[in-house]
Amino acid sequence: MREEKTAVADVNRAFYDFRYEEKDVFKVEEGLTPAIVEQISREKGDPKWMRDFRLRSLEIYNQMGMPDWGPSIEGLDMGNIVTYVRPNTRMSASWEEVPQDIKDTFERLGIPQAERDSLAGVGAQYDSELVYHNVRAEVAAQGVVYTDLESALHGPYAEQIRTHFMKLVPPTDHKFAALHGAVWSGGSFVYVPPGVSVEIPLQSYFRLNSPGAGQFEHTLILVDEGANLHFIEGCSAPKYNVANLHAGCVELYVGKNATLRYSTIENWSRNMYNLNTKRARVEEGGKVEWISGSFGSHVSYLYPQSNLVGAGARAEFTGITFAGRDQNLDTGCKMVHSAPRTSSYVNTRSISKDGGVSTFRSAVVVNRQAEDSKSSVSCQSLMLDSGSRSDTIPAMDIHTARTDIGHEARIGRISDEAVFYLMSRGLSEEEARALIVSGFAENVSKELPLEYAVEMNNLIRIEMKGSIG
Amino acid sequence: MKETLTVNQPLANTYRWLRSNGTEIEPFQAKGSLAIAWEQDEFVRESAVSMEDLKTGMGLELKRLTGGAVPFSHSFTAEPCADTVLRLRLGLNRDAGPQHSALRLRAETGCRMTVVADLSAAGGGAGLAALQTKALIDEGAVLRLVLIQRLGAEDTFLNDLGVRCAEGGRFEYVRLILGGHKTIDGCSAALAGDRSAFTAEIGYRLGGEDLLDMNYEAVHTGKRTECAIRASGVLRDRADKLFRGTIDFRKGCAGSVGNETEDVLLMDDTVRCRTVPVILCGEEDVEGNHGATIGRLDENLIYYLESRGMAREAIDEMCAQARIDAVVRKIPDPETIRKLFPWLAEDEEAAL
Repeated sequence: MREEKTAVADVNRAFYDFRYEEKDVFKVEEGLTPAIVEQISREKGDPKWMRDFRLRSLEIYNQMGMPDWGPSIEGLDMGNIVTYVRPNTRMSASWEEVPQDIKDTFERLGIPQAERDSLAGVGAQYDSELVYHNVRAEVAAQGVVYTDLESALHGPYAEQIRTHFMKLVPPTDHKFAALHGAVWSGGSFVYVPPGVSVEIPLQSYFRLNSPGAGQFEHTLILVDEGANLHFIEGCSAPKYNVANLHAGCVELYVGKNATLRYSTIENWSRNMYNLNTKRARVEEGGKVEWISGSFGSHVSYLYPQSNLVGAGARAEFTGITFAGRDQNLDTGCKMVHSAPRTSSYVNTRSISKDGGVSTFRSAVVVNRQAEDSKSSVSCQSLMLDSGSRSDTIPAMDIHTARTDIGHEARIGRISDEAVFYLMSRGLSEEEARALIVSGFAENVSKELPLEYAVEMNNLIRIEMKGSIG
Repeated sequence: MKETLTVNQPLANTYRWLRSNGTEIEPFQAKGSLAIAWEQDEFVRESAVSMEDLKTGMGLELKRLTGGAVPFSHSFTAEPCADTVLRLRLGLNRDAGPQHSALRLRAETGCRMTVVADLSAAGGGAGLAALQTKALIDEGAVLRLVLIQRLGAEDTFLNDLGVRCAEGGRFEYVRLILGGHKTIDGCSAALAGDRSAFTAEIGYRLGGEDLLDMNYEAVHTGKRTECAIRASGVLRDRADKLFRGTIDFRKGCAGSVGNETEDVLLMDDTVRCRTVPVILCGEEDVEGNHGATIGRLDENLIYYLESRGMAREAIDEMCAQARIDAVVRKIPDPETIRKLFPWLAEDEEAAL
């Protein structure tokens, strides 16, 4: 009889699992009513159109049913979720002006250090509001706009915001898009002018500190013709015994011959319901690259979608999902080809262990006008024990003959031969398995800036600690 | 509003907006049975076997589709250790209204039972028929089932299959769809016994306004079970095809292997091709693979053949036919190939 695996040490998430007592915060009541939505709108000083938009979104939310095709979200009771929590501080462009406990939070997470070392700008959100936002002078001098979305609603970009806000992801898209439309708060607006290349990344970091709260930030990025940007987002939260909810929204507009790389290391706590929506629209010759590492949350629904609407537009999705104990992570991507000579490439890996459930779910749609388009999807799944699950549910919907579509998927376990080989070279079994898993995740780590690749590999190593067969 | 029933629901759903999670069909009032004639040898006996608990690919009992009428059931059992061939001719009479039938097959211990069923239609207008086949494969037995569908451009056919394999049992299925306006095709194979196996070779050729909706599933519960599902087809004109293939590794099926591939040749820009190849895995010690290739003829191949004097239409026809021929060659009954696909038999004789 095979030797049973030893008990796997639970993830040591102490690095992220710290919290500060809430001081002088403003919170709306738990639940979701028109009065609460109006209160949020008043607090944020919304223009009238945005207030009306929120209330319409709430109506849509109330009319729509829950998703019935993915992981159960029975444990999420909107009646217990606080949709708006504002720390007692204003947004600042200097870390010195940020309240000490909040500043300490981001210091522990390494954000200010990363900003000093290697970022063109940073937005830091704490609960429902941005507390820090800054962009390097030389980047601003190029005409790059990186500001909080609320300010952008009232300033010179107001019309651009109104034209683009929740047009890619309308509230009717699904129930939690409607929720987002009703209670969104925080997030960033980025505009990169034509021909400008932002050589080093911009980053947003989202921290949810309040128990039982939701975070609904909105990120809107416009990369104009011929421009180039790398945007990184990170997130984390301390673990509580009550549910938290993240229903953010990311809308990316990639102009003609522009390139946007959007990298995410998602590391929410294990009580989080992560129902995030991300979508890109790519014009002629443009390219969007999604780099996605999903390590946190209790339940995740996450499927970045790329709409290839211009001839020659391209999309790439590279992702890794690691589902551990008490996690049900349903992730993947969607590619929609609506113009000639478009191409999409998907390369994902998923790992499940310790009773975790990992599901890869994708869709490739090639519409009739997308002649001479190509798509390739590759998905590999690794199961580390028999207590876990790994499912792959891809789908293809093709409406033209002039296309080439390829798809492949593999599910399996760590090869005994590979482990034996590494052990014969002096590694312990635990080291061998950890090395194989790190190599398995290499498709994502090699696409990230070094610091984030290191963070991701550390997360994997933490997850693998104590895991031997 | 007319009542509809949902059939071909996969074991795991995809996004709702793809409209691929099951298919709605209207029940119909069956007026009679398919005409079934058969040739059997001494190793096959007609004997009723209860298989009510056997799950099928469409997921519904046939009588729910046919207004509550219980279909006439033909049951055949192959004796232990026999090597036997049963040939069935299924006839759809278009003038006799909607028809339905049930087939029950039992391959007893150690036997090799080959069942070749050839469905065709006669009469005018549009025919409608439903056939539900259930099969039990005992220890060490092999059931090879071939279902060839040769229907007209207005006919509708609902084909539902459920199979269970005991230890060492093997089910080999060849399914050819060579006509029919609307075909709803479901197949569920339960690999309950250790070392049991299931293979499906599916070939289809659709044109006009044809619709083909398939749901194939292999459920692995026994240890060291194997499945291989291969679908290959050609779509032309405004044909619409949906293939759902699920390999489900349940907890406890250690050592099992599942493979699934689909290869679709698209000939016109007005076709629609949907593919949902799914692997569900609750067991660590398994190996699952799936692959799909969808698209047009290779440009280099076309160029080569045109440079040898072949017209484009002839190239298209040859390549489309080749897809079907590859599946036909898997039919484990040379007599059927000779009778129904004489050009293949001529090719083989010429080769000799």
